Amino acid sequence: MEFKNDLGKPWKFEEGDFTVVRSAMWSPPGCHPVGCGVKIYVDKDGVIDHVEGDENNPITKGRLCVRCLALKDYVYNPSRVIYPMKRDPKDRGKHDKWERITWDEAYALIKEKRDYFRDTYGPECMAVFSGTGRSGGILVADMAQAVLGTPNACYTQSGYACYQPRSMSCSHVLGAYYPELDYAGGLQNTYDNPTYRVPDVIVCWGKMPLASNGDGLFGHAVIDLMKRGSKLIMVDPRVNWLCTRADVHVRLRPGTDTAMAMAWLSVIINEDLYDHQFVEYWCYGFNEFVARINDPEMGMTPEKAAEICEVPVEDIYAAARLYASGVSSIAWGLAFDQNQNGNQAAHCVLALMAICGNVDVPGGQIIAEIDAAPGFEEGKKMEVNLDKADAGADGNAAEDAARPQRRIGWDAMDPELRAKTIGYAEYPLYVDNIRNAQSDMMWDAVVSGKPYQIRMGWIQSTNLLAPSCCAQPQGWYEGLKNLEWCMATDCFITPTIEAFGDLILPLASCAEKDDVVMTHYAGSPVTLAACNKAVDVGEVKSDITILIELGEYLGSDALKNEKGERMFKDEDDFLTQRRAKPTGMPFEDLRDIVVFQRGVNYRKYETGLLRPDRVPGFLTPTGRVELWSTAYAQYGEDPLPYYREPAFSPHTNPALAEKYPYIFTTGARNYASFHSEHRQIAVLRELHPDPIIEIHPDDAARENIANGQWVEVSNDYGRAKFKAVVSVIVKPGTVQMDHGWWFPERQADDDSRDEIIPVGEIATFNDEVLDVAMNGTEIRAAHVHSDHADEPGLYGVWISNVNDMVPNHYNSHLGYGGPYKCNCCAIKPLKESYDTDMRLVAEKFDI
Amino acid sequence: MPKYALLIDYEYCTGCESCVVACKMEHDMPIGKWGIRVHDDGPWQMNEEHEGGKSFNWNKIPVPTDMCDLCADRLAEGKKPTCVHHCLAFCMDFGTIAEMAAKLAEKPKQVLFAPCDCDIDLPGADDFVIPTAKAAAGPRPRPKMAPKPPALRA
Repeated sequence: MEFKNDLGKPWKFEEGDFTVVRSAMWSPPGCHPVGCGVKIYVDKDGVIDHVEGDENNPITKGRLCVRCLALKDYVYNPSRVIYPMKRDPKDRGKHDKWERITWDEAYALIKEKRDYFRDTYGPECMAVFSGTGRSGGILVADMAQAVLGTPNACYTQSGYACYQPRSMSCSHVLGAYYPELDYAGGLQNTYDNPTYRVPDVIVCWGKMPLASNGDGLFGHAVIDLMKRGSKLIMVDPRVNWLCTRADVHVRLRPGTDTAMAMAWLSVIINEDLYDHQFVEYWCYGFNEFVARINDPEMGMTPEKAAEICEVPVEDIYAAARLYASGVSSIAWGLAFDQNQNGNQAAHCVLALMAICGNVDVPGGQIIAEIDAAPGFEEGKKMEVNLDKADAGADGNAAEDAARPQRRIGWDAMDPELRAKTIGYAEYPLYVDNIRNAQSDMMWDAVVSGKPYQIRMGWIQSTNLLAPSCCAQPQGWYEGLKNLEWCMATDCFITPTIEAFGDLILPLASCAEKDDVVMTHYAGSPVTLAACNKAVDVGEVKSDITILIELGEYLGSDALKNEKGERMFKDEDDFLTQRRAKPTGMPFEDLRDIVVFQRGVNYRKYETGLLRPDRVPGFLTPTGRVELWSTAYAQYGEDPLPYYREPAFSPHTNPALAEKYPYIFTTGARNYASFHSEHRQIAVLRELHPDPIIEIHPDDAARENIANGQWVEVSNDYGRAKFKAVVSVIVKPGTVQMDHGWWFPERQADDDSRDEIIPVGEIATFNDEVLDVAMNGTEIRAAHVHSDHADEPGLYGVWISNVNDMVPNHYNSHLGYGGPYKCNCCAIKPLKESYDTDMRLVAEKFDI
Repeated sequence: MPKYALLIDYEYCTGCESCVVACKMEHDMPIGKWGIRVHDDGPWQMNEEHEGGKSFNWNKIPVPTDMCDLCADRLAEGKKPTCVHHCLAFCMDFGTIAEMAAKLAEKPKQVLFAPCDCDIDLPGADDFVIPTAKAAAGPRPRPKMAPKPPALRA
């Protein structure tokens, strides 16, 4: 049977009573930049009637996830903020003290505060805090450095344990940016393009892309590829649904990924399964690398790894041999970031990709093509200083070259001021790579006031208390109470904004603004797509509009061009200059075609397209994939990989393991929400109404826990409540908990407040300050005294706050990573039920 | 009498629930009501061969409810049911019972549902001929009307 479709329709067309706008989705609401095709049906009153998937999109082909399907319920949600509002700082926490103001008043207030704090205490006393996934989130450095004039942009996750640790390794070990599963997204006719071949083997390692769509990878492409013959290897402690379709599933102990990767390398090297030609021509330090893998003490064998990872040794051999048996592609995820040993795990996985010849081949790992250096001429040799701006940045050449939407303010900033970035002295690589304050050092600063007090804050598209990101949110909560003034940009009042916000600027959602969706933030040859504005709502503005307007209002020089005029005329001009660039067309033209497929030049290391000087090779000091990493060595890290046991494992700390006998892991994704968002979208909340913990039946029996019963988990840092799902998908002794939970239908007002911790005082918890020397690194763990776990108010943000049990400062030598996925806890059953009342949710939030 | 069917390939249903929400949004269904729901068979361990992977049974199976009318309004406009259109795994199909039954025979781990007595006349619905052994012996009868692709609007 044939059906009607809208193939070939223009970006805007009429159908019956509706104007249909074809668009590509990003955020808000939060999501990663896939650019899923939508058709937004707008009625005669300019209101969204419904949303459908756009079959014109070459990748999604009309498919759509639940969050886009429910877009209407987000856009018109009764609790959405659509006007600027302010509140007296003395009324923080009180939901009924917000008053509506105009944008002009809002900008004037920001200027008054910014000027006061800058002139009285120095611009560094201001900080902009951001979250993940959002189109505005990647503008945080610009908001801080270009708009406000402070160096302190901060994504509050301990060790920036999300994507950046991998990015850093990509830049320094591989010398190319972000090797991703090749799903033919950038090729005409995708899977049927003659240049393409389906991967023989796909590996999902610490990643479940069907739900996460990490950084723009359309997760269900994995299903498309499996139907076309790709085999699947899953490396994951849990048996998620995708694992049940895998040819090999390695259920490793949380936090032991480096051991596993080293073991695969041991098999592949010693059984001579690697690509000799690629190693000989394009790798540096292979002999030293092999010597480390085979080293009796610091190296790894499959047998040793089987013991460490607690898996059958046959699984390791099977996985490694299958991986090396053809063209293979690894989709690698947060397990590489949320680990103190993550920089080594990443080093190893990049080595696997390289020595097996899978880098930049069809069906392998696609990487970004970068621009030639300014002044490059064909046929002429040129000298390029990789440390400087030609390649894009200080010490982060490959990532900056691949993501040409430059961070506007960092380079323009006075070097003395830049040097004041929190954490710069302790973690220079981190700060230089990301242009952010190091998050654990920022936690210290807000809690203790050292090296200086943060006085003005900007909560920019983050719900950091909820949280998905920060560790020890109690500490953030107590510390950020010391902010003298705080502004926020978001679509809803979150617990974070309710707690600290004195001004909120309402953000435009994806349906209400123009934008360009960049897969991997432009660092991958897949697509660039137009988010086309469909409707107006209240007085909302987009992040980009705020950047331009507020930047001008505050007199930012970094946002002026050489003539002293506005660098960006308006939102569409910003998009043309900064985001649509690789398409070679202005935004208006991209709008017409909606999706631009970037095309892929494979084997760029042979043709010079990975380097601005166009010399064949990779963008590293040696020009090769640095299996022996010169950058790691330069920054004081071991240039070769090694395994390090997780800090909270039974092997590292047996006494702790007795108190807290369950290994806990977090971060598994859900279709129903993007981290802490969507809690107030009733149709989505209905899919997954309560925060859950997965417990093996043996453990449930021992602890006397029934399926569906509520439990409390705890450790030295905090406690939280979850609803038990008794299931064999976790191994005995390991549990998995949801993150990012707050309950917008609950009470807002914080009417039970503990004593405010005076600035400079590091408090203790349970009379114990944990100062531990571990592997030569001193761990400082400052706890906050107050236990907020049963506190009413702030929309129940302390009831099921798993990150409360995760401490700061358990980072790698380079300042990355945190123990979100390999920690420990105790569990006790509760008599009370905290089940969500869906009728209450529907009552409050149905449109 | 049912004329049309949903064919679901549950080897590939990932449990994304796009069908569930697409249906609710299309038909304005409130909390507590559904036109299609995803049921889990699993996870449970079938054998001790492996620690995970294919030793586990876990099938997610979308099942239309009594409230499913096969998107009669959309069908009248010539469009597919919304669950089929939006399925992230492309594991749902819609057509006449005969057409879908023939596809059912092509691979295992599929299920055919005839949710309701929707008997709307759709273009092309009567064109499908079930291949039989007799058909192999001689030329297949030509359909009376060659199906035409829908005209594209400018």
